[in-house]
Amino acid sequence: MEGVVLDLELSPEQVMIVEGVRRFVQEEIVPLETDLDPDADELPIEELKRLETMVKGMGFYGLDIPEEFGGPGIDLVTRTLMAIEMSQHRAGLYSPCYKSFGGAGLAQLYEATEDQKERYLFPTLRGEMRGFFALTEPSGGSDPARAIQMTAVRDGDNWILNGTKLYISGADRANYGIVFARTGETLGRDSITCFIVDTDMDGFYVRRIVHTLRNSHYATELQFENVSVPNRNVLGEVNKGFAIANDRLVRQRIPYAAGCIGVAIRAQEMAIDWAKNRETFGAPLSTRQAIQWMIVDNEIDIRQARWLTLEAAAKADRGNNYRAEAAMAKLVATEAAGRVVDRSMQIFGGAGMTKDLPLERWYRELRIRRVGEGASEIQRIILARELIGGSFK
Amino acid sequence: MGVRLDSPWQLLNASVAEAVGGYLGVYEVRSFDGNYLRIGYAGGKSQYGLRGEIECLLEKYGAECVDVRFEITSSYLSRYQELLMLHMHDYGRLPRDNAEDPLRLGIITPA
Repeated sequence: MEGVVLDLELSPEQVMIVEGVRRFVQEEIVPLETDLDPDADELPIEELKRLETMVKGMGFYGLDIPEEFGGPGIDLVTRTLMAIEMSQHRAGLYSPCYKSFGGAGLAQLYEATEDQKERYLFPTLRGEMRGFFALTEPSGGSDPARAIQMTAVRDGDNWILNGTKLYISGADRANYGIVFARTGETLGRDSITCFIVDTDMDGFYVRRIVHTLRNSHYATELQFENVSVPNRNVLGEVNKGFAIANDRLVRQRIPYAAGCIGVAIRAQEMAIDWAKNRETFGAPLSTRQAIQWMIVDNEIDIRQARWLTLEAAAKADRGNNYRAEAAMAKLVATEAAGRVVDRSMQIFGGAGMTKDLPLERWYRELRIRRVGEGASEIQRIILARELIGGSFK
Repeated sequence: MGVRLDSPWQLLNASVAEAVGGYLGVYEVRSFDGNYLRIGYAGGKSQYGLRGEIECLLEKYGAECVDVRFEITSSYLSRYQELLMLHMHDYGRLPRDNAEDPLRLGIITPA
């Protein structure tokens, strides 16, 4: 049967990597959080630099940078195992290890022209520039092919962009962004073009911060008023903006799912520890069937999500089509982690609702994970197409 | 919620501290000549929330020497950064007593 992973044992190298990352989180990251606001997602610069130096010494800096661009060349299964470990701290869901493992830049730029790589990708990989990704608009995000109302009209050697983008992370600190606009007459994928827009171009504005459940790592609303973008900043081909880097975008869903699993594991560990030590009516909570079943359901959720996510990673590493598996991993892991944290909060009772513990932060942030990177409903649509189309075995 | 704080300025004194609860939120402090002195927040580590922060401001600036206003919000970190970015947009610098904050601020341009 194609795609079934039977070898469940980690290699000695994987064990060493997992244990090393786990130690890094426990010994370097968690102690720093006692001095930070419970919702913080950044470290003081000097601490970040110190940790980055350590990560570089471990050989893991730039995990998601493709090997041909200088990344460490780690397979996706190992990358997934690392992501599970890296998220096991308070800020771990959206800032795993406070980004001390380095970023990867925007996936689309790996498919850019050599000129575009020189101007944007390589400076980004060197840490000299930052980019944002702008697809969603007030008119919609799940169906961007129809929802995109931002227009780009050819004007000589330039394109004139007009429109609004919403829920865009990092735009206020970025040097450039990847922006999708409608260049064709029809509604649909075949009339969308991808542009690279410099944030110092006239007419580009970050209008406001969009405040959400996620206190830090905020989103923004962008406005484009007659922004003139040179034709050499078209990424890919005109009217074929969605075709760029689709494989890389699907691949990203796997570490995304893995981060949720790591948080769920930590919540479960906390809940078990609490249940063994907290007493009610003369006995530890762990002796109560209601609590035991919550812990059991947590474990089932975690293991299901972990196996599905690792299966997707293994299939990707073998070079097979893993689009369905990645969709299933993202769907299951994000929803399962939410249930695990919710049960863990229940086990903790009132303490679970406080900012003294990381649970309430994970609860809020996991709610967003069911919408970001393709909402649960979209993942189900992807899976339904694969199943009913007969290509999923 | 508007982009800028729109709650009324109040003369900073003990009764303001007594009236405000221990909520999470953000605040602004302004001198009588209109200069912003500090933008801050009462976050998850604050012992007494906005009340505690207002009391600290009383100690720092003295009673009835400055104006203060605040906003109750659980999004205190993102709101705090937004207010600082707005101040940078409006005045080209941080408030006098925020200069030491180790923040990496972004840039916003409100409509």
